[in-house]
Amino acid sequence: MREINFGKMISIFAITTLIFLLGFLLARSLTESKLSDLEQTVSDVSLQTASVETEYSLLLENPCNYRGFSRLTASLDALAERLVFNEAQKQSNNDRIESIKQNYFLLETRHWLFIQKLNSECGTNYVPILFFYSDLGDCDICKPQGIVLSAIKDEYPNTMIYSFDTNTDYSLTDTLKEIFNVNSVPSIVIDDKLYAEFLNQDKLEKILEKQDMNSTSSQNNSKSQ
Amino acid sequence: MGILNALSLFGIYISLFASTFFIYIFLENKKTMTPPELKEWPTVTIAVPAYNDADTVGKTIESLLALDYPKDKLQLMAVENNNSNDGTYDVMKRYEDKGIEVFTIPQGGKGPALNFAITKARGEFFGGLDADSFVEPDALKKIMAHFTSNDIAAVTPALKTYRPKSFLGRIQQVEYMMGIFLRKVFDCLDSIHVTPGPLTIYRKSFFEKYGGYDEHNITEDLEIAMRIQSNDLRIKNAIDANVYAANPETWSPLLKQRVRWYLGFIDNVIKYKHLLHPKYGMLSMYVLPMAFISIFLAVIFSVYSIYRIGLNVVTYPFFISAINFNMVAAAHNWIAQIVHGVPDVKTFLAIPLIIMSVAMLYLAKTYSQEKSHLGIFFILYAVAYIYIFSIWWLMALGYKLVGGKLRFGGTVWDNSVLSYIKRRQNAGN
Repeated sequence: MREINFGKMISIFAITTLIFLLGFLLARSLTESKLSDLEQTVSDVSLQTASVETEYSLLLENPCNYRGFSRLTASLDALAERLVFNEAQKQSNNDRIESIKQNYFLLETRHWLFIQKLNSECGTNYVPILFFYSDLGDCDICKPQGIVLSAIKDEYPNTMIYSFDTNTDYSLTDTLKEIFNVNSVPSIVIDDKLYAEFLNQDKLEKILEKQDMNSTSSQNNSKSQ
Repeated sequence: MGILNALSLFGIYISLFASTFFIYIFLENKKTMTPPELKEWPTVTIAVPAYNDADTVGKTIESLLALDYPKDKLQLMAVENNNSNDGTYDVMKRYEDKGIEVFTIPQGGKGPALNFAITKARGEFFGGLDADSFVEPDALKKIMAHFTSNDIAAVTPALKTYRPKSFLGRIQQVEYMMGIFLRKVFDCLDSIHVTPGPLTIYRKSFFEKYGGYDEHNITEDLEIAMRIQSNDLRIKNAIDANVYAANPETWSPLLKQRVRWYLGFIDNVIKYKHLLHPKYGMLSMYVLPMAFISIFLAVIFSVYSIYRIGLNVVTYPFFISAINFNMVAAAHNWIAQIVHGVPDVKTFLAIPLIIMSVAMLYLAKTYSQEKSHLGIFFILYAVAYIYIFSIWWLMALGYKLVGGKLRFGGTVWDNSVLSYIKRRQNAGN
């Protein structure tokens, strides 16, 4: 009968378990710190939004000269880029992610409403694009659609992309879906028109060019009147 | 997805446990790794079995002639078998006047040649050296120093690859280095279950008592190691006794070699299944079960990850065309994922695993006094080996289930499950 050193096995088992738990803790603490950081940014942008809206209302004389808006847009864009949630994050803290997302969707909606106000009151020609997606793994083409939209934004600086996750349990996104009759993903709304399909870069460019011509002709019409 | 995630975490845990365990055992025994130098020089017989090895056998014999061991205590022989037609016998004959005993036998195969040599051996100890392997001058005396008690039936050397050139050769170089580390650990656990063909030295009395090499076994070195273990004798390892073997540098002969090894492993584990009894200590309770688990996990991991990579390759053209080949936008998205996402827990756990693999390689290199740098090939090994290993195992398992006859040198293998069933049916008829 040869020797089996169970004591040694148990101590190595303990060391391994320790390394294993350390890995878990490290992953978790990194997730936590990234989420806290995001929460802080969301709260900053939220404050910024409220202040821009208020300042705009205060400037009764000539509100269209107000320049604080572009700073807010830049902050919102920067926040959007950081909202990359992967499986690792979702597994460890789905509730916090959900709350960050809801706050972000609220900020987007406020921004969208504000931009419409600017377009009508100050004659700016921002083109808001609403993008409805799902990240539950049931929409393979949502990710490429997101990339196409980012590329479009780089090409047409006047476009504003607002992304909404349709799976969020949030009345605001439900209301938006209802307003534009969104039933499938990916869905895109440009100028109140719903495109319930994947739009590649060419198609999107054509839609935007048409949009541009319309707005130019409507501006000309209004001038001639 | 849940099951696969759990399975991969289990795989990482097992690998972490095994690596920690092996490093612990190695370090615990490092002081006793080199025994005191030999005071008495027992007589040793070394035989070189050769078949169509005219190109290399001369160099093999010369390396034996250069051994730092008293000439009157060393009997060297070369046994040509199966009527080689490339002049192997003529090359051997040239060394006769330097004290090499040269023989030729009509029968094919390494096993018969070595068994023939045992009948002619005068030494108290016996070992073979393949005709394409070479020894360092101090290898034999380092090996012999490990025969410190009568229950030690065999001592294995540190087997290295001889001047690897190709990518496959370099990958094997790292693999053999890992093998050197593992064999030493298995020695500390009394669990060596393979005694490599090149220069493992056996106590000749073992052959006299338990029979010679199994001539029908496709991996006679594995069979003999398991036979030693099952007779409750011990196998030691001399980690600094360097022996170099020429290895296959291309896919096809390498695949054939590995299919032979793994089929031999399966057949011999079945033959010696009683070794899985707890009375055989760590061999039965840890080393062999761990081998089965790691093969299983490696195959599952490789098949699944190849499936995932394949799926991406299939869908990637669509993805790229959907974004109008805008690679800048795709790269931007990819970078955002890396910068703003959080690495998976598996990534964190892979870091200690990589550190431990590097540590094992470092220990093997240091203790076997290896000078060559492995650097980049270690990275290639770490990335590619699991897939290559899994391909070999899948091929071997396929042959074991439904394969027909295979010929390895002079030995024929016809031991698949399908052939077994057919033979049973024919016997029934």
